[in-house]
Amino acid sequence: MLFNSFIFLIFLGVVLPIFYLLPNKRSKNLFLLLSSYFFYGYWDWKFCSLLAISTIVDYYLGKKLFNEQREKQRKIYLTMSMIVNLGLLGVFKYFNFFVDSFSNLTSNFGYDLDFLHLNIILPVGISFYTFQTMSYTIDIYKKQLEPTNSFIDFALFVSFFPQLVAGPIERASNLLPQLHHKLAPNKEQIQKGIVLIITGLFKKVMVGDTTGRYVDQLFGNPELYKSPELLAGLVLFSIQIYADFSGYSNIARGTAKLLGVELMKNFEQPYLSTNITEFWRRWHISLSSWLKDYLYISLGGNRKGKVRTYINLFTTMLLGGLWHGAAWTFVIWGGLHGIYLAIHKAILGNRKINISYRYTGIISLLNFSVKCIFTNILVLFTWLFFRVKSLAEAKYFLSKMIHWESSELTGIFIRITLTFVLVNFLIDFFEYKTNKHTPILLIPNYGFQYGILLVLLGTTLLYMFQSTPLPFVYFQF
Amino acid sequence: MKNILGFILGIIVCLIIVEAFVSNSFVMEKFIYVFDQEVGRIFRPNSEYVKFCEGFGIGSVNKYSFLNKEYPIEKPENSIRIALLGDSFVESFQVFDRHYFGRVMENILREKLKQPVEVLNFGRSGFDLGDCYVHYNTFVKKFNPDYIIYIFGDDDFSTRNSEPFLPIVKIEDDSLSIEKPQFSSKYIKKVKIKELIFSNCALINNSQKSKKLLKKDYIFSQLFDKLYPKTTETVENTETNITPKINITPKLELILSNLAQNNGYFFLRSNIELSNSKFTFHNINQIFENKDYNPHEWKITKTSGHWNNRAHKEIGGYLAKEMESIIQKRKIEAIHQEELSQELARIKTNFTN
Repeated sequence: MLFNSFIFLIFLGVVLPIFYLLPNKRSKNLFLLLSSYFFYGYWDWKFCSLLAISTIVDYYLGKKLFNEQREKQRKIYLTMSMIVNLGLLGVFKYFNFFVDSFSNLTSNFGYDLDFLHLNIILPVGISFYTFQTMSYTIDIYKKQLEPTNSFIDFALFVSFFPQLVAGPIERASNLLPQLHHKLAPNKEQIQKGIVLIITGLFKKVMVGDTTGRYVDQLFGNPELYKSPELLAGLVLFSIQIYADFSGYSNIARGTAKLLGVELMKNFEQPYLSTNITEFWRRWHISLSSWLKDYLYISLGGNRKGKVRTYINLFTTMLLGGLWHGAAWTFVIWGGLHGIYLAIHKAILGNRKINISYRYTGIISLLNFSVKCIFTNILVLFTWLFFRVKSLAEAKYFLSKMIHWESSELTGIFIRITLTFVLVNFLIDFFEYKTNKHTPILLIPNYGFQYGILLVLLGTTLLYMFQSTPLPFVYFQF
Repeated sequence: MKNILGFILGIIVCLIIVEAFVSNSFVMEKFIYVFDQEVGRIFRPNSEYVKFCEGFGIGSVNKYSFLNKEYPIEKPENSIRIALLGDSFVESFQVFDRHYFGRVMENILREKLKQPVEVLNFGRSGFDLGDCYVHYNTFVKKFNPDYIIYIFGDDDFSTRNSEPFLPIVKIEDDSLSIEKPQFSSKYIKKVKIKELIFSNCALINNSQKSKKLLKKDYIFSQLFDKLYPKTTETVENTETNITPKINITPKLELILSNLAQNNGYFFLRSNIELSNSKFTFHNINQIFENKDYNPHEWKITKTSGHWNNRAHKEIGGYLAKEMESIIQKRKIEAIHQEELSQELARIKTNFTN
């Protein structure tokens, strides 16, 4: 079920009143669990079994891990959890990638391994919920978390529908304690929840989906288009992926708030970052913090000298790239970010970065703007590898940038691109300035707030009614 | 009171910002037609469009109210001007102008004939044979084209009159006449006000468009998604093996003969068996026989309908070839005609002497 579809709004319209009417914690959680499985099974009921496997395995292994004192046995339980979760990911997401890559290699020696290629569909959101359940087991292994005694609470933690298919990747330490209490949203949560859903829908549908229409065409047939058009396509993609994903996260957080649950922020105006390290503190925060806590630190982090720090950063980002998709283009995307981060770390040394800008004069604004633009150019370059389907396509795109050819439609493409950039910037600007994802609520006049929300919702519903919803870009991961 | 005022102000301010956004990003379309006393309805001059129907088209309506590449009404002396007339397949909102079959044909002909060639796109969605006749006589004629290419599909052999504002073709005493619909000045004023609003405000234009979608089937399929499966609509099903048989009525034949008199050439975009017509119809569809792709398939949007980019390229090449031979033939005929008249003049002079 897509958030940007009427069926989701109907689903929410049915789930919320029943949820509010249910009397106790147990019935509320059980109902939410069933609703979450319905939400997930709406794509394909068969995938619910994977979700159930991951849940059952980690629930019991978590308990075993906690009660076990022998280190060797604890390691075995942890390994079992890793094997099941990464095994699911490996089979459904990476098997064909490794088979195809290996087959390409062996074909040079006359061995064709194409018959090993499996005809399987990637289950929606598998990367998200496997990482979430893995964090539960790892935290128990690290003795940072106690396992839950309620299977329903744990199953709901894994399958909680607002964040099930595209995050934020929640930590058990944040979500589980909330589920242990009777969920009842307060007035502020309801207010913020509604605003987040409306603004998230607007971002996803009116900015994400609409840029996506341009991007799909331009990247779908790049040989038809000229250099300025393709460059506009890349800029539009950078907006699409942000609006799409951050819009989704807003809807997820808003929906959770309506259920009385607080989810972590996933985005904090990443395109207003002045350097690449800051970018990764603002972009897909739940994943970058997961990678930092469970991969980068496990590899040694910055504790084993400068060179190892750079290698660890690079490796973490490389694997982060692979998490996004089973293709070499994602590996390059992650690798490039790894290189950027390592270089920035080398430049920074022991200095800490400042992640909030305060206006102190025109020079400081200029300095901030130049740094932002430079960071955005670096990030934009990496988006190319994120969006193309193959390395050959990336090469073609780059050759078009080098052998520049003018287009009779440059003017209209500039106009379209600048409009989207401006809208995106305006939304970010207000959020950055107020340090809130719901700056509308800071307007003192309630009438004015409702007027704005009504127009945003009306326009979004109008567009949704006229068009077919585009799936979230991150669903493929 | 403060809140009510704030509510109204909030709506107005937000509507202005959203309208600026959807218009400039072409997220929502504006109305691109305008009422014209003579022609009925024409494209709004100097407007731009971005279309995502099946394919991806960005273009403009030039100041003379036809699509894309602008050519003045006065035809340069040395150039050959070809007008294209037909329905949405000729209009081709699905592709960029540089990929349009007319432009492909223009470029090839320029190179082959070594002289300026101008191809003007007068296509319009829903146009049938009757509309083409009317549009030629009320609008296209003034551009003085040397050749006119008419492209018809199996549903175009009619005089249905696709739009209420367009004049209609009538037959009286074996001759054709054009009858303009009669509207009161009050009604025309109302239409013009509506057009002004719809062509300047994308939000209102799209609300209007949504009103047209308010049909049970569409509403339910949008609301209930796969719980209420939508039946997929296709403009043309090329996989069908049944060739429609069309009987050309005397009225249609008269229209065809009138169009042919002005150097009109007829092309079919689908396999049709025509009876009772003396005219030659070139079948464009034949070029796709034995091809390994479907000319109507749009892979990115997963739809089937109008010609795709690849088909446009091939059609452009095919039409260029056909038109080249027609033009060369006409040139030879003209030379023969001139030689003949010179010979006649010479004989006449000799005879007089």
